[in-house]
Amino acid sequence: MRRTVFDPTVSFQQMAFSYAPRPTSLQGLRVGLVENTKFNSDVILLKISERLHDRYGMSMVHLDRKKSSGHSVSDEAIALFQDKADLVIAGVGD
Amino acid sequence: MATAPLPPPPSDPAEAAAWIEFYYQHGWSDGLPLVPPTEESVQAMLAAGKLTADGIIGTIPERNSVIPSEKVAINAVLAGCLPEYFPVVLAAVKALCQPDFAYHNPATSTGGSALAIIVNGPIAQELGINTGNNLFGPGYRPNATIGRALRLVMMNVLNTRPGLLDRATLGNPGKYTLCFAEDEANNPWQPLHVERGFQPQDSTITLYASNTLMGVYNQLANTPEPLLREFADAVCNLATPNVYGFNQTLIVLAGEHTEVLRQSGWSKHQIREFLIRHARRTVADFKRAARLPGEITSEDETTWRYVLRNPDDLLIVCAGGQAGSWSACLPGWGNKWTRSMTIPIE
Repeated sequence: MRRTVFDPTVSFQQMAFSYAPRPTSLQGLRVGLVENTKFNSDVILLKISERLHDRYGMSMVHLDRKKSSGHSVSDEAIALFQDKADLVIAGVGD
Repeated sequence: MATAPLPPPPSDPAEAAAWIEFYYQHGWSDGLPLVPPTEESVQAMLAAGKLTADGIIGTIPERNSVIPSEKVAINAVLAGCLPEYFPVVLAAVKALCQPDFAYHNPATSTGGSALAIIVNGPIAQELGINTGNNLFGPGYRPNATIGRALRLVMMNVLNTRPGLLDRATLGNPGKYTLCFAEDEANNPWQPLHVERGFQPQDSTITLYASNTLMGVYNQLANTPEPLLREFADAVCNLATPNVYGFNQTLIVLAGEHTEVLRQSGWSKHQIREFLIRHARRTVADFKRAARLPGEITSEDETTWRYVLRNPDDLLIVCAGGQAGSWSACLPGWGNKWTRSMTIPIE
């Protein structure tokens, strides 16, 4: 009996995307933070932002707390970052 | 024991074995042999779900993934499902896609949770889903294959494979399959799906991300309080990830323990209230076990933290054998944003 091979997997579609232009200097930029709810992730991000302020005069414009580590960043937060921030720092950790 | 005459065995067992090996070689298995699909078996699965091959069952936006109906059907065949099981599999896959289930959390975490499928309603009896002795054990085709089909969909369609998007430190035997039905006939209270707004005649699945399974043993308790104190102790076990009061917990009450509670006349509400009140530990306990940072203060010894806050976060179902002093506690995976989902079986 002839049998067909039934592939149970789904091929991932390649998506074209481009990076935002990279800043040539960090001096005076506005930074956004994405906090993923993992323990201490807000602590480390705020510390990084503090050091960026001390070294480069950067200002923290918004700390976004995700719904959970497994959720995407909300559309509202992305819109806010697009409007108010020059770069965004996101981190994952345990 | 089957009463109908069994069909004759395949004329060429070597061919069947070669197909099984073929599917192994492609990396499409969970480690156990797969049932090689045919045009007929895939079509029968789709027909049982009233689906066409080009349909979409759902999406997981965080994974940028879509779940095509044909792929679910293929995986159900591979898992060994009969076509009549397919509506249950479909409901479980739809539950995965609910935003509040937050699939990426329990699927990918180092916590390695098993996804429990709890079946309610008439379909459980129609399909012969085990609800009694050896509830979590082997021997029942629908229990074994429905849960397995869900895991194969996760692995093959959503790429939730060990070492890739499944980063479990230890995993969990329930990741092969974890499917059972509530024993509604021996349930003194409303079954789970009715508590969640469905009618008794509706058939549903509840998908629950379970971190682990603890047996709860008590042979002496003949009143609710001592029995439930033991459950409370299991719920607030320091080793579980959900001890900060932000999770769901599943209690599976088997026959003898159910009978103690039935005879006492306790309602589910009373049981929940008791467990919420007693599933607690002091801040000092948490600090001694380094589940909270900091030095222990005298105040910590008398400051309580409650593991459960909302009565709805305690799922209580009746299932398991009628004999034996056992029940089970299945703490949730450990994230307040992954909620159990109850979905109708269509």
